Amino acid sequence: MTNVERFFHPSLKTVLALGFVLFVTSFPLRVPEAEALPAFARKYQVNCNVCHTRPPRLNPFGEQFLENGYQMPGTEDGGIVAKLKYGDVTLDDVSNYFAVLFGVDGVTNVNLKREVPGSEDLTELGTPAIVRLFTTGTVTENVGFFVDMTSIFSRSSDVEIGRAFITLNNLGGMDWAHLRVGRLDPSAYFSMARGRPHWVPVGPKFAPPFGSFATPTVTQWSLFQSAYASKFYGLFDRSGAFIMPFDSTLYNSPEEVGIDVHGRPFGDWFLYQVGVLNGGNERAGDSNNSKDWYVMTRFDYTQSAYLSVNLSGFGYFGNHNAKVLGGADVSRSRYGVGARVRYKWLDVYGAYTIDRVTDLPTGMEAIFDSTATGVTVEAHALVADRVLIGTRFDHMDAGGLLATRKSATFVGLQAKYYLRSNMWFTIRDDFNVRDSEGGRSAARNLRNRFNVSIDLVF
Amino acid sequence: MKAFWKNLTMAFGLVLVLTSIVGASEVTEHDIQQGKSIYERSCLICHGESGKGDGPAAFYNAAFSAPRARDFTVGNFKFRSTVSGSLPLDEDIFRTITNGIPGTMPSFSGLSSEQRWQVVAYIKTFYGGFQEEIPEVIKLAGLPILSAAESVRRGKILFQDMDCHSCHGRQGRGDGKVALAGELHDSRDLPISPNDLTNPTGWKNGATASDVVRTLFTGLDGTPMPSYESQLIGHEDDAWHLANYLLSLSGQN
Amino acid sequence: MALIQNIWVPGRQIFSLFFRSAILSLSLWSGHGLAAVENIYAGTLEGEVHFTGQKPRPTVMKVVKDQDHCGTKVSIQTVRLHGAYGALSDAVVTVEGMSTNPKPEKAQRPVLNMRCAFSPRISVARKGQEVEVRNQDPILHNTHIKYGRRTFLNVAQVPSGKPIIKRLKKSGLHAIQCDKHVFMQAYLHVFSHPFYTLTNQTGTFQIPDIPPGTHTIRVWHETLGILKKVVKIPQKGTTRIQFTYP
Repeated sequence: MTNVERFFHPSLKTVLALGFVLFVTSFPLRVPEAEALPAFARKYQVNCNVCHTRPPRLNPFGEQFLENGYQMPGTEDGGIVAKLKYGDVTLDDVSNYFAVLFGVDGVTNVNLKREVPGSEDLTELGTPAIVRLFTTGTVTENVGFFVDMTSIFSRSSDVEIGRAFITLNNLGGMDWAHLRVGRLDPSAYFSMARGRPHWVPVGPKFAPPFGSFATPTVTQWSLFQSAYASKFYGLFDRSGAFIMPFDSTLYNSPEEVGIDVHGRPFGDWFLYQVGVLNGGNERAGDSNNSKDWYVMTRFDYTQSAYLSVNLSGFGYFGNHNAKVLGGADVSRSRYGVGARVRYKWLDVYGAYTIDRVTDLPTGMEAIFDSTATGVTVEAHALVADRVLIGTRFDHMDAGGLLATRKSATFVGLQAKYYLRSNMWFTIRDDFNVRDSEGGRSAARNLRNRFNVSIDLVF
Repeated sequence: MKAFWKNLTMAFGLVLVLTSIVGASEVTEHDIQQGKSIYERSCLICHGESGKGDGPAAFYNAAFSAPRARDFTVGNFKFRSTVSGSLPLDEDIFRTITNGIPGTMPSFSGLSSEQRWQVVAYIKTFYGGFQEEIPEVIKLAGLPILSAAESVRRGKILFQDMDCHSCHGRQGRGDGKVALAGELHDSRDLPISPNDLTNPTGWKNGATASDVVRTLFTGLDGTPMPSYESQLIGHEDDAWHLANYLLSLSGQN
Repeated sequence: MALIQNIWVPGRQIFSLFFRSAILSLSLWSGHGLAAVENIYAGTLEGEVHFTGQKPRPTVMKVVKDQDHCGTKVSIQTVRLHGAYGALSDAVVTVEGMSTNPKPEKAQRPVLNMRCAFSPRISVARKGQEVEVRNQDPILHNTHIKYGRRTFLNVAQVPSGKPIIKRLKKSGLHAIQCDKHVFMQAYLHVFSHPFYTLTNQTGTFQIPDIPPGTHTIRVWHETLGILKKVVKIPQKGTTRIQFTYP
């Protein structure tokens, strides 16, 4: 059965898709202009699309706001707009500082080739998938903060602190240097930022053995930006826990403890970023006291004609930030380029990365591929005020233990309908464009995943 | 009573604004250059390098419908205190920069007032008409009328008589027949929705009675919203009644 | 002369006046009075505009508002033909590149009447003249006049309200519309010189007193577009020209 046939074969899917379309089109096409306004939108009394191409992805104005430490360029007001009450930020100002994202998976259908033990096709209904609480803003001029707490119900009911950092902005002069300290996402200013994905990462599923230096069986491939994935089979973190080949790591980590500086000292066309991280993705501390560091440069065209273009490149230099079986330290590094073009209704961006593992113990080179690459390209088109359609290409040329490593190529199709600028329905299908084959390979095992979800941020 | 004083202050404010034109100091080349550098940092991303309202972020606000960032090169300004077809006063542009526009443009009150005046000076360089034309200010006689049940009742009758409902709907929800037929367009030929008058955050030109009266007199150039000046001049009381009724729709006043 | 006439800005009137008198005295000194200038421009252009081929179907537009008064549908024929030979009326004929005429003009003020349509649909005027719009319907209209993308005027007119009168300050094509009834459309051409006219019911036109020389004659029609021809106007006498759409 080809992928196309697979996609259309289960009539349940067709019925659901049709039902969804009917459901969506049954909404009145004219919705009052009033939008429920999340924190910054509330604070500045604007709707979400002032900063987003369509939420959650940022438009150039939103990027400028982010770069300036959650302050509009020119109005480094220190939260004056928000602080209505007593001069200091208090709980009375809470609505200008808090926002909540609530995502629900309506229906998910997963199609697997049943060769991996314990895996079978499944259709899940209505699990609340994610609740994320953001607390962010500025406390005084050029001083801001950001904290997000996430609970992913399908993983565990624990609340995890994601990013948590303080920003100090416009140090040494306007746009010269903006500093972030804390648990931060290094790739925030890269052409294809890790955060605010239009394609919500779908986590992997895996089976025992678990434990120190054990390699679990991956039963379902994770759908995630391959360019940002770890890409290596057979690596462990400092505590000995298995690093999934598709975990978001290094420069593209969702959060790492460190210090980061960026700025535009020469004008709008050029941005620099340098940073130092603990590395190794440890939740706290730095067990072997080695640091990773990175540098990124970005070139921008943002003038007129509804056009913005940027091109960026980075190098991330790891220092004993992983281990191989046996416990020896290795260093992972990453080099990448990214680009983004936005023109009117079109938004295309992508990244290509090369990962290298160095300091391998002698004798391991023969069984371990120390180079891996990944590429992710996403394209979105705003076909109506409220409808965004998109596609994604993801390819991972995996590295690591030659015996177990598997590469993967996925293509995704997605349509979003924005009932309001802060609430949207997503209908999405991802399919494997490689042939299925035998063996314990999650990369080949997952054939197709269809998902309908609803997100609300307020 | 509070509302009365608010309105009265606003009316005096308007008078002050008008008299301040006389006292406005000369704009120097230095001001324009300063304005340019502030514009490029704070405004360009939406309004574009050449002021055409085509900045890299201008498209996304509504995408295929109005409003989009103002094109300063055309000479249409929605928020004025001048007659239909006239350019705005400097004070009008200054007010918009200061207050922002609910929903679409943030307030730039974080810029110092000197900086905002410099931006005004620079924005005016995008359209040659500012060198040639003298804005004609609306003539608003009489005192504001306190919002009271009687005033609101009379405003409601005027709302029907003046046919506001063709676009704004009988209940003021922005769902009049003409609006629902999709016949309304702005000067960019983008579809435009009439304001939902029941929405308290929808008053783009200000949400006080004097703001609403001003809007009724000036119209919103570049949009289908006409000026009612020729009907309201000499009947200024009606303008206040109508404004009081319109604000009552969103539970204000 | 072109320079002087373009300066109409109130703030520069004194400046302009100064130059006017300077040039006036200059021309008097050189032996040419203004009367002499008039006599030089004695060439007349006469012509006809035709349409050949299949007559386009009228555009039918739905009436959304005030159906009791305006009906449910409006049929608009922009190509108005007369006689057996396709004489086309309501085409605007003008001599291109003419900037000014120093002689002040007392042309008739264009008046537009609204009766579920602007009448006339096509009109011409001289810069500096006033335009008058009257609502003769028992319903509310708005007159929205634009030149290019800029609003020249957008006013609501209640039934039996005062007519709107406004001075035309810019030359060029003014598009007129009632936003409440989008089927109500009209065009007003404003010129900074007197060398313009509209074709009449026989498809003919006449422009008198054209300065001698080679000129481009331009014909504009609402939907058929623009035609141009170069013609030589002698010192005296009548020159004939013919235009055929499409």
